[in-house]
Amino acid sequence: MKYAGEGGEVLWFEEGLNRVAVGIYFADLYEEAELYKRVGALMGLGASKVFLAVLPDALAFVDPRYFKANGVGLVVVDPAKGVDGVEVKIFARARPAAVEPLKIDAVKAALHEYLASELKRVEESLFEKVKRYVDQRIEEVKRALQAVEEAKRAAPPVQRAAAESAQEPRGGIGENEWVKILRSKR
Amino acid sequence: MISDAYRLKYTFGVDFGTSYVKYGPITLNEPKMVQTRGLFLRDLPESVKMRIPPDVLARGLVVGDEEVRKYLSSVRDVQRNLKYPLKDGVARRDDEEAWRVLKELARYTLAQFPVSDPEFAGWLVAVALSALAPDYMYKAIFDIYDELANEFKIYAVTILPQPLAVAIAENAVNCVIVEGGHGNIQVAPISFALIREGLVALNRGGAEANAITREILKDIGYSDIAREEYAVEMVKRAVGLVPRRLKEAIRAAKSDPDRFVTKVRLSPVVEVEIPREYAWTRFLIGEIVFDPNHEEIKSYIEQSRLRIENAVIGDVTLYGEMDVASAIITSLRNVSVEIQERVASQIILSGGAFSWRVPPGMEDVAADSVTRVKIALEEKSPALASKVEVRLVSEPQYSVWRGAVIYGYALPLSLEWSDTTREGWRFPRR
Repeated sequence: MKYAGEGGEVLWFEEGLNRVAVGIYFADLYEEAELYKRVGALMGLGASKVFLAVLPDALAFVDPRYFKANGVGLVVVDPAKGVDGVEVKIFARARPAAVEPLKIDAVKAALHEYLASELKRVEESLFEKVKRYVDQRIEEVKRALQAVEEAKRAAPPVQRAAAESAQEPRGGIGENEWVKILRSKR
Repeated sequence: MISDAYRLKYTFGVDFGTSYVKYGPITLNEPKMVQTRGLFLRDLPESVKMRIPPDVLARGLVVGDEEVRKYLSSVRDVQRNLKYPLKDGVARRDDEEAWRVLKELARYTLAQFPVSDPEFAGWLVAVALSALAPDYMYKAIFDIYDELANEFKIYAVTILPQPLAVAIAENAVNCVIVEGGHGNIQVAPISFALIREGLVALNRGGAEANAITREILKDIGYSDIAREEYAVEMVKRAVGLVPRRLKEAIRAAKSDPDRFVTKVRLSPVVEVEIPREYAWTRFLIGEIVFDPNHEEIKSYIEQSRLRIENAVIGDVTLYGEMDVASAIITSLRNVSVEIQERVASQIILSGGAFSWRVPPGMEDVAADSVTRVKIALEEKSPALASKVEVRLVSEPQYSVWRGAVIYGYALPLSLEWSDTTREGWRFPRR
């Protein structure tokens, strides 16, 4: 079984042509109604097989007959035991909604398109980050040089204050109205 | 000369909350947190003493979640030696141990951020304290940082009230901040500054919701669980509901109790069930925070099972029975008539006592805090209710810290601390 991504609280896997959805429901306090609501949501996802992953605490609420009758699998995760703590209590049955070959191609094409666009986005954001980092470093060097020059020139106080206020504060603080109000106090 | 660029790097915010201290420099996205408590290293067996670093042993006290946990099992009398210095955000003047813990926390927070920059001239520390903090607390906090200036580089220190910090973080210049903590609720009107005359405090909060949960658990037959604060807190969070209107909610719950029956699993072996005949009491848990003036809640008070009474901290009276909407209106009445409307335009709720959720399908009888306050205002003063926008802060835990660092960044260093205006910077003696 191959990991194929995640969405919300659902992990997706590929098992051959089967798409397997594993819904995660980890909570300090389990609610019976919530548990079955999640099972219902999982069945509506259109996956070939669905599993619900829970902590051992949830077992009190699990009705194995319901799970088996609906072909929903149950995975119990005991974090204290690490990797050994993952146990498949009930195996899922493949659900009747078989995927037609045509649809598979369409899905493959859509997935490919999505991956390409995602890759591009990651590339762009990486470029943006590197650019910002370099700009920031250049800005710091510039500022340091400027400070040295200013010290040499020993500019009059008015000019110095102007130079300071020209530096734009970071993320959001500059737009905060309180900054203006506080600055006007003396 | 301290430049803006410098202040964007070396402004340090500390929010002394009753349960947690939130702290860190302005450069962080989120502050670090440490529990507001200290463990005195007394009554230690010799064998344990040998394992403790000498400087820690000399100070006789540890703070920090990990550090406290490390020594907790070695200290014999935990009850006596584990000290929570703040009650309702205030430390008593003569409580020497509390002040030692606060000093140790101040040291601990600064020590987490060593600076090696040769241009570092010292931190600009902005401390947020409860709006109820009396003058002596301001003085004592300044003294603490004066003393720490020998150990750490501290350029200047300022103190601001927590509601003002929330307003700054929310970028709200005219507003009413309603801060609901564990022990009390503070209503603070703000117009370009905190309006102290309008400060109204209620001697209720999350703790009262816990207290009534405890009594309900005892009635249902879970006296053993009711003894444990942690369990009570879990039950409160899981089953507590805020009613839109208590009478209607109770009527609905009594006519169709099955809809409100619920179970909470506290551990693999403990489960609490709220049975049909008690399903309606779920609404009392949330309602007590907003308005305890109901027969159903009064009966607990009359039987001396709950205590809701006035208290005095410094020069502020904390009202026990006043409902939240009345507190907001009382607070606004103490604001100059000319600006009342402007101040009332935004009511901002913050703090853990206002974090309630509505389970799906119960929207007709239960409400979240914002809706509950709106409904109460509509009942008490429709004219006011039509003009206000009630909302919850975006980051309940961090907004005070965020406001504090912005304040520290913007307040001009030329402004020296004044005891009358409670504004400005204090420069530690070196």
